[in-house]
Amino acid sequence: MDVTYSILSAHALEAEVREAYDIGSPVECHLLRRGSSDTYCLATRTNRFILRLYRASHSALAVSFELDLRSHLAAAGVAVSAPIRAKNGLIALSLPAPEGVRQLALFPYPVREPFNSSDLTHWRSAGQLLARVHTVADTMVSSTPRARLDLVASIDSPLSAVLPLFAERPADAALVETMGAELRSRLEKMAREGLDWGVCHGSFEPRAMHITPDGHMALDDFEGCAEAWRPWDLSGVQWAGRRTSGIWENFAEGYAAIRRLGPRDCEAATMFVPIRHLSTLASFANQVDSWGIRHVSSRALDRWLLFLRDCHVVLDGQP
Amino acid sequence: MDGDTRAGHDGWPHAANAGRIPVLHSVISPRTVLAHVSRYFSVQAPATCHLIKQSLNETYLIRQPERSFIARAYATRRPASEIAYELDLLTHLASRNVRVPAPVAANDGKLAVALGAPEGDRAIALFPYAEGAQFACKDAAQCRLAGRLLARVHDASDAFKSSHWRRRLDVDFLIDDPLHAIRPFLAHRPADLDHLENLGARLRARLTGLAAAGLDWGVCHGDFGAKNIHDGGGETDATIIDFDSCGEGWRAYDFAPIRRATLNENEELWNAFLVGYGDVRPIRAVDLQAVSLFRLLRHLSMLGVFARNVDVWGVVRLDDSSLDRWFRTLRAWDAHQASQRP
Repeated sequence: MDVTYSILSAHALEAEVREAYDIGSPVECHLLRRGSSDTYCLATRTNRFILRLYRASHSALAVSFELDLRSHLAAAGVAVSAPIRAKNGLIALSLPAPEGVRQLALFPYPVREPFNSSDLTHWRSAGQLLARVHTVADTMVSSTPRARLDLVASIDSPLSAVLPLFAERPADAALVETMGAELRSRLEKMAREGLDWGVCHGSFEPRAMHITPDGHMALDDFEGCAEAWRPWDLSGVQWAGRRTSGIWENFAEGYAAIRRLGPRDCEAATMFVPIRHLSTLASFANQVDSWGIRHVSSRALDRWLLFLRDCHVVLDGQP
Repeated sequence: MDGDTRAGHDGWPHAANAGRIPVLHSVISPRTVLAHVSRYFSVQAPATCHLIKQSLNETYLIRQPERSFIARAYATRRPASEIAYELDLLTHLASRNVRVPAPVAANDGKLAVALGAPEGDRAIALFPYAEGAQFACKDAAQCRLAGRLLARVHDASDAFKSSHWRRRLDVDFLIDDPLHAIRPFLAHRPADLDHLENLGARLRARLTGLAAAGLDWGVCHGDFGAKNIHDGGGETDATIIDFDSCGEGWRAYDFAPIRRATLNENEELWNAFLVGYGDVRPIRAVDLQAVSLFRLLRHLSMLGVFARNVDVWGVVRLDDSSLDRWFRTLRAWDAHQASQRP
């Protein structure tokens, strides 16, 4: 019997937390949503918490690095929710699931308002927030090995995961391969000339942000965090800014108020849009046994290619 | 540290603790499904197996050089007798030359085999894969074909008898049960809850009235939408798949998905569907009159499904923004009904 993913009983998770954490007796626990990790709401008589159960594909080390980063950022005053420590001092529990060991972490329950993409002041705050994340992350001392999105991890590996999907579409496969090679050589050249490198959030976009009751912009969804070229984190904003004027300008002003924003990093950001697009498809390809082939169906590939071509046009337009 | 192995990076001594935390639902690996299917059915190597989608049930595509199959792993919450009813119905329809994927019998003659999963035994059934593209219902010819196909399902199922129990798509299923399931999620929206209770009462009265006026009753597909119709790839006629929502009910329930899909299109498409149905089987005025009611009832029962499955889907499908959207649709329907009254 071989299982690729399982949904664990919320009731049993509640019992695990009761034993391992000093937070009072949980009275209720329910599943909020499933995704790259499963999120539960756990309540005691006086408090509410977010319980995050990572997929087995997220190793203990990867989760540990994410939680170290969150703790470090929070300790430095960045609006990020930090994991609550268990009674034994650790920041995650390892739980046995049929598909393998899964990590569980507990966070305070956030009270918040959603990010409003049409409010330019939100974009300015987002710029400040990301700059703080990058600056503070540079001071993090953690012995936990972390993912490094170098040329191999950000282009070569995803490309080899994706190409088999196009086995029956040679023309499209050739396009993907050419584009991959082109991105690789551009990135290599730009990296040689000097790009900011360090810990990145990995999925920096509006849905990872929210507004706290005291008006601060806070950041969540750190599952994609890794060491990478910083333009990785700028790419989502720059793409959003193509269609709506003011987004990029406000964001960049916010960022530059806290941390230097080099012209090369800005220029490179566009290139990370297709690179991230490639990674997304690669992760569906790698986890096809738990997500299903629907995400890599020929219709899904058509849509994916359409966006890739769009990126190509934009990149070609660059000097 | 007190030697607690629980939180170390090495994790649990796995074998000793596996199964310590109860599982509600699991996704069985395609490899295991293929091994199981090869053992119990006459599906020989070489074959590949892929998970198509993860939902309440899981669906797998098994490909051999000559032919392809769908293996469905039913969720444990679907009772065995309901599965047996569905598989009997498909066998019956196929024997009457209705284009449905008839279940492939296992080597011992049974239509479903059990596969032990962490959450309990899961029934696995095997179907021939319906080749071809999904219908889009964007042209009149397809809509007419869809109408004919549905009429054939209804016609041929009139003679269907099963010794297996399956839940009926009756007032309890369509109204009372969803209301009961949804109530706890509306505790913080008293006005909406009131509206819903009130609407439930009106829907029940309306449905009872129409039923008394002679709505057609019999076996329904339960989810007769374009996504479940495959065009046969030009080789064969269209096939209707996925009878997981079937049951005895009012036939007008099966008109609702196509009505919804064609609502914002040219009225010609809906008319073509009705013409197609009428080619095979007459439609009475009362059934037509009930279609808009059943559209809303489907909407309601969908919300009931979300509410009953929050433990595996999460409450995200019933959060405030989803409920806002849902109540907007509901109020629009109400307003439309009011405008239609003489």
